Amino acid sequence: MTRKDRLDRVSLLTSQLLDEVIAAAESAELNELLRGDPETCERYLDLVESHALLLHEHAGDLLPLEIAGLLPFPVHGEPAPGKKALPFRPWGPVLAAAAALTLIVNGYLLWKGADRVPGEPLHVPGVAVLSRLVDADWGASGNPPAEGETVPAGVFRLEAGLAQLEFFSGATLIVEGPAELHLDSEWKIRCESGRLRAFVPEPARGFVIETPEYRAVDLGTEFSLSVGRGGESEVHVVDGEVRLDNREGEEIRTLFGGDGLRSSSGVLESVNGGGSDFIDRRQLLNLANAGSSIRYREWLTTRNTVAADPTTLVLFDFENQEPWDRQLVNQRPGGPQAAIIGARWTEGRWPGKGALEFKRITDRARLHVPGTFDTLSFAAWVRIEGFDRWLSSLFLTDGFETGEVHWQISNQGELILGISDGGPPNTISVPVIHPGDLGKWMHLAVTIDRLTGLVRHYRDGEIVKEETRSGLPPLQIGNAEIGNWQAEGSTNPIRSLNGRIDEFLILNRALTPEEMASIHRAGSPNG
Amino acid sequence: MQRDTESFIELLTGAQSAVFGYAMSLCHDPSLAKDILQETNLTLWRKAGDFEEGTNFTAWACRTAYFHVLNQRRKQSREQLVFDEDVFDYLAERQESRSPDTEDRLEALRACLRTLPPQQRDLIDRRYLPGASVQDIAKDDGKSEGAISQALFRIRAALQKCVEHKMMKEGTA
Repeated sequence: MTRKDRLDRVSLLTSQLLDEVIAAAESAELNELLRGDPETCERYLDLVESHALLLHEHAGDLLPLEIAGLLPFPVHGEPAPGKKALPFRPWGPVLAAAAALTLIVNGYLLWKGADRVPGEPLHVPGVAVLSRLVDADWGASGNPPAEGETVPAGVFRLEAGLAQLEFFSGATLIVEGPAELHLDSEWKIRCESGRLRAFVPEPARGFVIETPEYRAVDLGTEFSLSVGRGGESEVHVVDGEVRLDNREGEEIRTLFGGDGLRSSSGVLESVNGGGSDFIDRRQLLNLANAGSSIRYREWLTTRNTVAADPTTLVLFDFENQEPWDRQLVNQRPGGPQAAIIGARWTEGRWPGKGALEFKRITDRARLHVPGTFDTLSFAAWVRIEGFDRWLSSLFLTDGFETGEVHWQISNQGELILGISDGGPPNTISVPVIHPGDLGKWMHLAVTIDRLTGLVRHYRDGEIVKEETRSGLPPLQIGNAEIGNWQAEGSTNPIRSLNGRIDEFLILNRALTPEEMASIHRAGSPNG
Repeated sequence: MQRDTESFIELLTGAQSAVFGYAMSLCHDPSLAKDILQETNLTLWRKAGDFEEGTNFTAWACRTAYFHVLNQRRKQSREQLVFDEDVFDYLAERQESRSPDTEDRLEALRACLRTLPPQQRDLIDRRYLPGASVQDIAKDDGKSEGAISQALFRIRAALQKCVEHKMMKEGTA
């Protein structure tokens, strides 16, 4: 056997070993080939290392989860600017400050990737995440916050309904409207009026709620607190320990589980019991789920209408699919299905809603849509987790032949629709996805009418860019991918999506602005 | 969080691929290798204080993993073992002396994956799906296990060549 033969033989046997198809005689042969031979060992180790990397890569976050499990504390806080981000973000789903961390890390990555305007923050400014809302009424506020959004420091006013805030310190507050709070930091808030229930796990010990008359320093517990319009307040400790300090920081009193205290114009009075009429987390979840089920029915009605529309080519609703399904079911009878590659099943816009998570550069859903078209609409519910690269795919045809469509987003948050026709292909919106939108569900859509030349980009049911183009060729799709791109040749960079999708529509007509608004409304997770 | 805890986590996280690969090379069973990785992580975490800053973390992690592999090996029956003791120890030794360039290798591997023809790329994707096996792929495609294994061997050989080429190019650049 020559040197090369030996090495080739090692490659073959190693490959069989890794695929668990090696016979006993061959495995003994491999053993002998490796004995005392640095060169064959090197070959063997190279192959196994690539194999391990591929396994690791395809397992996504599965392995790192195991590290997270052994850390004795929740991980929170932001990566220092300029520091290399952790290779993966394992703690997110497991630990208490999950939402906060994910948002911060994503925000950080986003800003790192984008061309920064000097003076703009390096991370998403904010002190908490709005993790749950039930019938929230924000009054006259011009820009009402939505579930999943980061809440900045400052005034937080809720007219009615319930809102759950998860502070980056780890503390959670359920706020019952009407309430007015000042969020000073992730460690300290001021309650001017309203009713709160606070959950302060170990790492958030020391979380402070100020009332007009005292500061409640939480020493690791659960308690409720209310402040009336006249400044009178009541605090009830459900469990654990709360220390009340006066304005000068001197201790007034320490309360334990079951203790209650009423305070009015400086007069303190013990009250027993009480506090049970505050909404706790379980009740909030139940209420939120009830709200979801009403929305779910509304969404279902719209979905059925779209499924029955003869111009519908593709309607993936990601519903009622099993975690092991590797095919996306098209709700449009007779329409193409998509093969799921890599992407994993996860939760969508509301509890119980199915979605696919596109995370690794190999994740994608592939489909084939035959035919040529004069008009097309694409619409999807998407949750962007971060902009990993210059372009991220929403929907790209393989390659980019004449008439083929590319729908993608840039790391500046622009929506881009490309039609290959020899000229400049792209219709680009202004940036419409901002750092604060990461981790939040949004409805993105684009319509094309090649006869009038009209191309419209939508975000959340509203037109964000309109352009009339001339001389567009007949549109076609053919082989295409959701969340990734098969370029022709190898010089084109990766365009994989980092995020989730839980609804995807393609129609052979241009949806009107009214229709688009109504599809957005019916599917909106925020009611 | 304390500064050194944070940097320790970073080191630990960064060494995951390397330790997993190391365990795979000695026991070549993904689920065993995962167990070993987990045990190794636990040991490293407990012994975090023993780590001397500035020394090679991955090498330390692999030495720790070695003992866990050895433990696993003792639990296995003679029939399950592919390598005899000499070869096993020799491999462990060779592995330790390898350069800690897992990250570069991963980069190269990703780039090489993209150069594969779609069919080969697809086969790799299916092979490395969590829980996938050559047996299942053979059944799905109506082909023999030998045929699938042979196809995978060719792809691995091509990838290997490509990775080596890239690593060499970068090494001299």
